[in-house]
Amino acid sequence: MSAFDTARLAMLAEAQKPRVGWVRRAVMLILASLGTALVVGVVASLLGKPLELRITVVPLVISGAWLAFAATRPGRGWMRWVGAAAAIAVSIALVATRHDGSGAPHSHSELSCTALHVLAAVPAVVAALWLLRSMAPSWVRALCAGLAAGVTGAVLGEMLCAGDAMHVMLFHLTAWTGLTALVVLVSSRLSRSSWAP
Amino acid sequence: MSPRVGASEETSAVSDEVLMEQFRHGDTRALEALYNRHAKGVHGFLVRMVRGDGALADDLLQQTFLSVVRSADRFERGAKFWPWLLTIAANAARGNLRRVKLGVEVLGEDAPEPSVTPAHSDPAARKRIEAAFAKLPDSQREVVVLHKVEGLSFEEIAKILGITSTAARIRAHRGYEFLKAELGELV
Repeated sequence: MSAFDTARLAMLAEAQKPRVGWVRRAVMLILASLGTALVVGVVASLLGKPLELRITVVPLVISGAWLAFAATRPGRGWMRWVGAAAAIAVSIALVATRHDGSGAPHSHSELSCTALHVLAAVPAVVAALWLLRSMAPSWVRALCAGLAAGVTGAVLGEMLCAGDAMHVMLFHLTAWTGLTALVVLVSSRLSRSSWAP
Repeated sequence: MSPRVGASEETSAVSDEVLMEQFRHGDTRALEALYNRHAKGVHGFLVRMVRGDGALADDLLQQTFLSVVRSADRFERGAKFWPWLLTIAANAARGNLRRVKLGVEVLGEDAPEPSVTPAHSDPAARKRIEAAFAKLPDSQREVVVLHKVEGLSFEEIAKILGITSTAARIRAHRGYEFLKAELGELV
Protein backbone atom coordinates (compact mmCIF):
# COMPACT_ATOMS: atom_id res chain seq x y z
CA MET A 1 0.00 0.00 0.00
CA SER A 2 1.43 3.40 -0.97
CA ALA A 3 1.82 6.31 1.42
CA PHE A 4 -0.99 8.06 -0.46
CA ASP A 5 -3.37 5.15 0.15
CA THR A 6 -2.38 4.95 3.82
CA ALA A 7 -2.97 8.68 4.29
CA ARG A 8 -6.31 8.45 2.47
CA LEU A 9 -7.50 5.57 4.65
CA ALA A 10 -6.37 7.30 7.85
CA MET A 11 -8.14 10.48 6.76
CA LEU A 12 -11.39 8.69 5.91
CA ALA A 13 -11.30 6.75 9.18
CA GLU A 14 -10.77 10.01 11.06
CA ALA A 15 -13.72 11.56 9.23
CA GLN A 16 -16.01 8.93 10.76
CA LYS A 17 -15.09 9.99 14.31
CA PRO A 18 -17.01 12.70 16.16
CA ARG A 19 -15.22 16.05 16.10
CA VAL A 20 -14.98 18.73 18.75
CA GLY A 21 -15.29 22.19 17.22
CA TRP A 22 -13.40 25.28 18.31
CA VAL A 23 -16.50 26.86 19.88
CA ARG A 24 -17.00 23.87 22.13
CA ARG A 25 -13.33 23.93 23.11
CA ALA A 26 -13.59 27.60 24.01
CA VAL A 27 -16.73 26.95 26.06
CA MET A 28 -14.95 24.06 27.83
CA LEU A 29 -12.13 26.42 28.80
CA ILE A 30 -14.61 29.01 30.07
CA LEU A 31 -16.45 26.37 32.08
CA ALA A 32 -13.20 24.99 33.48
CA SER A 33 -12.04 28.48 34.43
CA LEU A 34 -15.06 30.50 35.48
CA GLY A 35 -17.10 27.43 36.39
CA THR A 36 -14.44 26.24 38.82
CA ALA A 37 -14.27 29.72 40.35
CA LEU A 38 -18.04 29.70 40.82
CA VAL A 39 -18.09 26.21 42.36
CA VAL A 40 -15.21 26.99 44.76
CA GLY A 41 -16.86 30.29 45.68
CA VAL A 42 -20.19 28.62 46.40
CA VAL A 43 -18.55 25.87 48.45
CA ALA A 44 -16.55 28.44 50.42
CA SER A 45 -19.75 30.38 51.05
CA LEU A 46 -21.56 27.25 52.25
CA LEU A 47 -18.65 26.60 54.60
CA GLY A 48 -19.21 30.00 56.16
CA LYS A 49 -16.59 32.09 54.35
CA PRO A 50 -18.10 35.51 53.60
CA LEU A 51 -18.04 36.32 49.88
CA GLU A 52 -16.99 39.80 48.81
CA LEU A 53 -18.77 41.11 45.74
CA ARG A 54 -16.17 43.43 44.24
CA ILE A 55 -16.99 45.23 41.01
CA THR A 56 -13.69 44.00 39.52
CA VAL A 57 -15.21 40.51 39.20
CA VAL A 58 -17.27 41.75 36.24
CA PRO A 59 -14.35 42.81 33.97
CA LEU A 60 -12.47 39.71 35.12
CA VAL A 61 -15.26 37.40 33.98
CA ILE A 62 -15.66 39.28 30.69
CA SER A 63 -11.89 39.20 30.07
CA GLY A 64 -11.73 35.48 30.89
CA ALA A 65 -14.48 34.63 28.41
CA TRP A 66 -12.97 36.93 25.77
CA LEU A 67 -9.49 35.42 26.24
CA ALA A 68 -10.84 31.86 25.90
CA PHE A 69 -12.57 32.71 22.62
CA ALA A 70 -9.62 34.75 21.37
CA ALA A 71 -7.24 31.86 22.07
CA THR A 72 -9.40 29.43 20.13
CA ARG A 73 -11.02 31.34 17.30
CA PRO A 74 -9.42 30.92 13.86
CA GLY A 75 -8.06 34.18 12.39
CA ARG A 76 -8.95 37.46 14.19
CA GLY A 77 -5.45 38.07 15.58
CA TRP A 78 -6.57 41.44 16.95
CA MET A 79 -8.86 39.65 19.41
CA ARG A 80 -5.85 38.10 21.11
CA TRP A 81 -4.04 41.40 21.49
CA VAL A 82 -7.19 43.06 22.83
CA GLY A 83 -7.59 40.16 25.27
CA ALA A 84 -4.00 40.42 26.47
CA ALA A 85 -4.34 44.20 26.89
CA ALA A 86 -7.61 43.70 28.79
CA ALA A 87 -5.93 41.21 31.12
CA ILE A 88 -3.19 43.75 31.90
CA ALA A 89 -5.75 46.51 32.46
CA VAL A 90 -7.82 44.28 34.76
CA SER A 91 -4.68 43.28 36.69
CA ILE A 92 -3.91 46.94 37.31
CA ALA A 93 -7.51 47.46 38.43
CA LEU A 94 -7.26 44.53 40.84
CA VAL A 95 -4.33 46.22 42.56
CA ALA A 96 -5.64 49.78 42.29
CA THR A 97 -8.98 48.95 43.92
CA ARG A 98 -7.20 47.57 46.99
CA HIS A 99 -5.29 50.81 47.68
CA ASP A 100 -7.20 51.48 50.87
CA GLY A 101 -5.91 48.29 52.45
CA SER A 102 -9.55 47.51 53.02
CA GLY A 103 -9.03 43.97 54.15
CA ALA A 104 -9.10 42.60 57.61
CA PRO A 105 -5.88 41.02 58.90
CA HIS A 106 -5.14 37.65 57.35
CA SER A 107 -6.28 34.66 59.32
CA HIS A 108 -4.15 32.40 57.16
CA SER A 109 -0.78 32.31 55.47
CA GLU A 110 -0.65 34.62 52.47
CA LEU A 111 0.86 31.80 50.48
CA SER A 112 -2.38 29.87 50.86
CA CYS A 113 -3.92 32.43 48.49
CA THR A 114 -1.28 31.56 45.90
CA ALA A 115 -1.85 27.86 46.55
CA LEU A 116 -5.61 28.27 46.09
CA HIS A 117 -5.04 30.33 42.94
CA VAL A 118 -2.85 27.61 41.44
CA LEU A 119 -4.92 24.61 42.59
CA ALA A 120 -8.21 26.10 41.43
CA ALA A 121 -6.67 26.73 38.01
CA VAL A 122 -5.67 23.09 37.43
CA PRO A 123 -8.85 22.13 35.48
CA ALA A 124 -8.57 25.31 33.40
CA VAL A 125 -4.88 24.72 32.66
CA VAL A 126 -5.69 21.19 31.49
CA ALA A 127 -8.51 22.56 29.31
CA ALA A 128 -6.21 25.25 27.92
CA LEU A 129 -3.55 22.71 26.97
CA TRP A 130 -6.16 20.41 25.42
CA LEU A 131 -7.42 23.35 23.41
CA LEU A 132 -3.94 24.43 22.29
CA ARG A 133 -3.10 20.88 21.18
CA SER A 134 -5.86 21.11 18.62
CA MET A 135 -4.19 23.83 16.55
CA ALA A 136 -0.82 24.92 15.21
CA PRO A 137 1.60 26.32 17.81
CA SER A 138 1.18 30.01 18.50
CA TRP A 139 2.60 31.73 21.54
CA VAL A 140 -0.04 34.49 21.39
CA ARG A 141 -2.83 31.93 21.49
CA ALA A 142 -1.03 30.15 24.33
CA LEU A 143 -0.69 33.45 26.17
CA CYS A 144 -4.43 34.07 25.89
CA ALA A 145 -5.31 30.51 26.93
CA GLY A 146 -2.94 30.77 29.90
CA LEU A 147 -4.41 34.10 30.97
CA ALA A 148 -7.92 32.64 30.62
CA ALA A 149 -6.91 29.70 32.82
CA GLY A 150 -5.41 32.04 35.42
CA VAL A 151 -8.63 34.05 35.63
CA THR A 152 -10.03 31.28 37.88
CA GLY A 153 -7.82 32.21 40.81
CA ALA A 154 -8.12 35.92 40.12
CA VAL A 155 -11.93 35.71 40.40
CA LEU A 156 -11.62 33.69 43.59
CA GLY A 157 -9.18 36.25 44.94
CA GLU A 158 -11.73 38.99 44.33
CA MET A 159 -14.48 36.97 46.04
CA LEU A 160 -12.62 35.45 48.97
CA CYS A 161 -9.49 37.45 49.70
CA ALA A 162 -9.42 40.64 51.73
CA GLY A 163 -5.71 41.31 51.26
CA ASP A 164 -4.30 44.73 50.36
CA ALA A 165 -2.78 45.89 47.07
CA MET A 166 0.68 44.48 47.86
CA HIS A 167 -0.85 41.12 48.74
CA VAL A 168 -2.79 41.00 45.46
CA MET A 169 0.33 41.86 43.53
CA LEU A 170 2.64 39.39 45.26
CA PHE A 171 0.36 36.45 45.92
CA HIS A 172 -2.32 36.61 43.20
CA LEU A 173 -0.89 38.32 40.15
CA THR A 174 2.35 36.38 40.51
CA ALA A 175 0.35 33.15 40.51
CA TRP A 176 -1.64 34.32 37.47
CA THR A 177 1.56 35.22 35.62
CA GLY A 178 3.19 31.94 36.60
CA LEU A 179 0.23 29.91 35.37
CA THR A 180 0.24 31.80 32.08
CA ALA A 181 3.97 31.20 31.64
CA LEU A 182 3.45 27.52 32.43
CA VAL A 183 0.76 27.18 29.75
CA VAL A 184 2.90 29.02 27.17
CA LEU A 185 5.92 26.85 27.97
CA VAL A 186 4.14 23.49 28.08
CA SER A 187 2.02 24.20 24.99
CA SER A 188 5.13 24.83 22.89
CA ARG A 189 6.24 21.27 23.68
CA LEU A 190 2.90 19.55 23.18
CA SER A 191 2.44 17.08 20.36
CA ARG A 192 -0.26 18.39 18.05
CA SER A 193 -3.52 16.66 17.11
CA SER A 194 -3.95 19.25 14.35
CA TRP A 195 -1.70 21.75 12.59
CA ALA A 196 -4.51 23.98 11.38
CA PRO A 197 -4.03 27.72 12.01
CA MET B 1 -8.01 26.23 -7.74
CA SER B 2 -8.31 23.82 -10.64
CA PRO B 3 -8.25 20.06 -10.07
CA ARG B 4 -4.75 18.63 -9.69
CA VAL B 5 -5.11 14.87 -10.05
CA GLY B 6 -7.82 12.36 -10.83
CA ALA B 7 -10.88 14.13 -9.42
CA SER B 8 -14.12 12.28 -10.08
CA GLU B 9 -16.49 13.57 -12.77
CA GLU B 10 -19.04 14.41 -10.12
CA THR B 11 -16.79 16.79 -8.22
CA SER B 12 -14.33 18.01 -10.83
CA ALA B 13 -16.32 21.14 -11.61
CA VAL B 14 -16.86 22.02 -7.97
CA SER B 15 -14.49 24.46 -6.28
CA ASP B 16 -12.32 23.44 -3.34
CA GLU B 17 -14.20 25.80 -1.08
CA VAL B 18 -17.58 24.27 -1.99
CA LEU B 19 -16.17 20.78 -1.43
CA MET B 20 -14.87 21.85 1.96
CA GLU B 21 -18.29 23.23 2.85
CA GLN B 22 -19.86 19.93 1.77
CA PHE B 23 -17.40 18.02 3.92
CA ARG B 24 -18.22 20.23 6.89
CA HIS B 25 -21.80 19.06 6.42
CA GLY B 26 -20.66 15.45 6.60
CA ASP B 27 -20.02 14.54 2.94
CA THR B 28 -16.87 12.40 3.00
CA ARG B 29 -16.91 12.08 -0.81
CA ALA B 30 -16.16 15.81 -0.91
CA LEU B 31 -13.22 15.21 1.41
CA GLU B 32 -11.95 12.43 -0.81
CA ALA B 33 -12.27 14.69 -3.84
CA LEU B 34 -10.16 17.31 -2.08
CA TYR B 35 -7.60 14.65 -1.24
CA ASN B 36 -7.51 13.45 -4.85
CA ARG B 37 -6.95 16.98 -6.06
CA HIS B 38 -4.28 18.04 -3.64
CA ALA B 39 -2.48 15.07 -2.08
CA LYS B 40 0.27 14.98 -4.70
CA GLY B 41 0.74 18.74 -4.63
CA VAL B 42 0.95 18.77 -0.83
CA HIS B 43 3.34 15.82 -0.86
CA GLY B 44 5.61 17.56 -3.34
CA PHE B 45 5.56 20.70 -1.21
CA LEU B 46 6.38 18.67 1.90
CA VAL B 47 9.25 16.82 0.23
CA ARG B 48 10.83 20.20 -0.57
CA MET B 49 10.14 21.47 2.91
CA VAL B 50 11.84 18.52 4.62
CA ARG B 51 14.88 18.39 2.37
CA GLY B 52 13.85 15.38 0.34
CA ASP B 53 13.07 13.10 3.29
CA GLY B 54 10.37 11.04 1.58
CA ALA B 55 9.38 9.02 4.66
CA LEU B 56 8.90 12.16 6.73
CA ALA B 57 6.94 13.79 3.89
CA ASP B 58 4.65 10.71 3.78
CA ASP B 59 4.02 11.03 7.50
CA LEU B 60 3.43 14.78 7.23
CA LEU B 61 1.00 14.25 4.34
CA GLN B 62 -1.09 12.10 6.65
CA GLN B 63 -0.81 14.64 9.48
CA THR B 64 -1.87 17.41 7.09
CA PHE B 65 -5.05 15.70 5.94
CA LEU B 66 -5.86 14.47 9.44
CA SER B 67 -5.63 18.12 10.48
CA VAL B 68 -8.03 19.08 7.69
CA VAL B 69 -10.54 16.56 9.04
CA ARG B 70 -10.07 17.43 12.71
CA SER B 71 -10.11 21.18 12.13
CA ALA B 72 -12.65 21.49 9.34
CA ASP B 73 -14.55 24.04 11.40
CA ARG B 74 -11.43 26.22 11.53
CA PHE B 75 -11.66 26.79 7.78
CA GLU B 76 -13.36 30.15 7.51
CA ARG B 77 -16.01 30.96 4.96
CA GLY B 78 -14.61 33.19 2.25
CA ALA B 79 -11.08 31.84 2.66
CA LYS B 80 -9.24 30.00 -0.12
CA PHE B 81 -8.69 26.30 0.50
CA TRP B 82 -5.29 25.81 -1.17
CA PRO B 83 -3.41 28.43 0.89
CA TRP B 84 -5.13 27.10 4.03
CA LEU B 85 -4.03 23.57 3.17
CA LEU B 86 -0.46 24.75 2.54
CA THR B 87 -0.53 26.59 5.86
CA ILE B 88 -1.35 23.32 7.61
CA ALA B 89 1.34 21.45 5.68
CA ALA B 90 3.91 24.15 6.42
CA ASN B 91 2.98 24.13 10.12
CA ALA B 92 3.31 20.35 10.24
CA ALA B 93 6.68 20.47 8.49
CA ARG B 94 7.99 23.25 10.73
CA GLY B 95 6.73 21.55 13.86
CA ASN B 96 8.43 18.31 12.95
CA LEU B 97 11.63 19.97 11.81
CA ARG B 98 11.75 21.92 15.05
CA ARG B 99 11.29 18.70 16.90
CA VAL B 100 14.34 17.15 15.25
CA LYS B 101 16.21 20.43 15.73
CA LEU B 102 16.87 21.18 12.09
CA GLY B 103 15.31 24.64 12.12
CA VAL B 104 17.46 27.73 11.49
CA GLU B 105 15.98 31.24 11.47
CA VAL B 106 17.66 33.83 9.23
CA LEU B 107 16.41 37.17 7.95
CA GLY B 108 17.81 39.55 5.36
CA GLU B 109 17.04 42.43 3.02
CA ASP B 110 14.98 42.71 -0.17
CA ALA B 111 16.06 42.09 -3.82
CA PRO B 112 14.83 40.59 -7.12
CA GLU B 113 14.78 36.80 -7.28
CA PRO B 114 16.50 34.63 -9.89
CA SER B 115 14.77 31.73 -11.63
CA VAL B 116 15.25 28.40 -9.88
CA THR B 117 13.12 26.26 -12.16
CA PRO B 118 14.72 22.79 -12.28
CA ALA B 119 16.25 21.70 -15.57
CA HIS B 120 14.20 18.51 -15.88
CA SER B 121 16.21 17.28 -18.85
CA ASP B 122 19.51 17.42 -16.96
CA PRO B 123 19.66 14.98 -14.03
CA ALA B 124 22.98 16.37 -12.79
CA ALA B 125 21.60 19.91 -12.70
CA ARG B 126 18.49 18.67 -10.97
CA LYS B 127 20.62 16.98 -8.31
CA ARG B 128 22.56 20.20 -7.76
CA ILE B 129 19.33 22.19 -7.42
CA GLU B 130 17.91 19.69 -4.94
CA ALA B 131 21.14 19.76 -2.94
CA ALA B 132 21.10 23.56 -2.89
CA PHE B 133 17.46 23.54 -1.74
CA ALA B 134 18.36 21.10 1.01
CA LYS B 135 21.08 23.48 2.24
CA LEU B 136 18.69 26.43 2.49
CA PRO B 137 17.68 27.40 6.02
CA ASP B 138 14.11 26.23 6.72
CA SER B 139 12.63 29.72 6.96
CA GLN B 140 14.02 30.66 3.54
CA ARG B 141 13.25 27.35 1.88
CA GLU B 142 9.56 27.46 2.81
CA VAL B 143 9.20 30.96 1.36
CA VAL B 144 11.11 30.07 -1.82
CA VAL B 145 9.03 26.90 -2.29
CA LEU B 146 5.75 28.71 -1.66
CA HIS B 147 6.70 31.61 -3.94
CA LYS B 148 8.56 29.99 -6.79
CA VAL B 149 7.13 26.46 -6.85
CA GLU B 150 3.59 26.98 -5.59
CA GLY B 151 3.29 30.38 -7.23
CA LEU B 152 1.83 32.16 -4.21
CA SER B 153 2.13 35.91 -3.74
CA PHE B 154 4.14 37.33 -0.81
CA GLU B 155 0.87 38.47 0.74
CA GLU B 156 -0.47 34.89 0.64
CA ILE B 157 2.83 33.53 1.97
CA ALA B 158 2.77 36.06 4.78
CA LYS B 159 -0.71 34.85 5.77
CA ILE B 160 0.37 31.22 5.65
CA LEU B 161 3.48 31.72 7.75
CA GLY B 162 2.06 34.31 10.10
CA ILE B 163 4.67 36.93 9.15
CA THR B 164 4.54 40.26 7.35
CA SER B 165 4.78 40.35 3.56
CA THR B 166 8.00 42.34 3.98
CA ALA B 167 9.50 39.56 6.07
CA ALA B 168 8.42 37.06 3.41
CA ARG B 169 10.15 39.13 0.71
CA ILE B 170 13.27 39.38 2.83
CA ARG B 171 13.42 35.64 3.43
CA ALA B 172 12.81 34.97 -0.25
CA HIS B 173 15.57 37.39 -1.21
CA ARG B 174 18.02 35.71 1.11
CA GLY B 175 16.98 32.33 -0.25
CA TYR B 176 17.38 33.38 -3.86
CA GLU B 177 20.74 34.97 -3.11
CA PHE B 178 21.85 31.73 -1.48
CA LEU B 179 20.66 29.66 -4.44
CA LYS B 180 22.35 32.04 -6.86
CA ALA B 181 25.64 31.62 -5.01
CA GLU B 182 25.22 27.84 -4.85
CA LEU B 183 24.02 27.25 -8.38
CA GLY B 184 25.91 29.93 -10.30
CA GLU B 185 25.26 29.45 -14.00
CA LEU B 186 22.09 27.38 -13.44
CA VAL B 187 20.01 30.34 -12.27
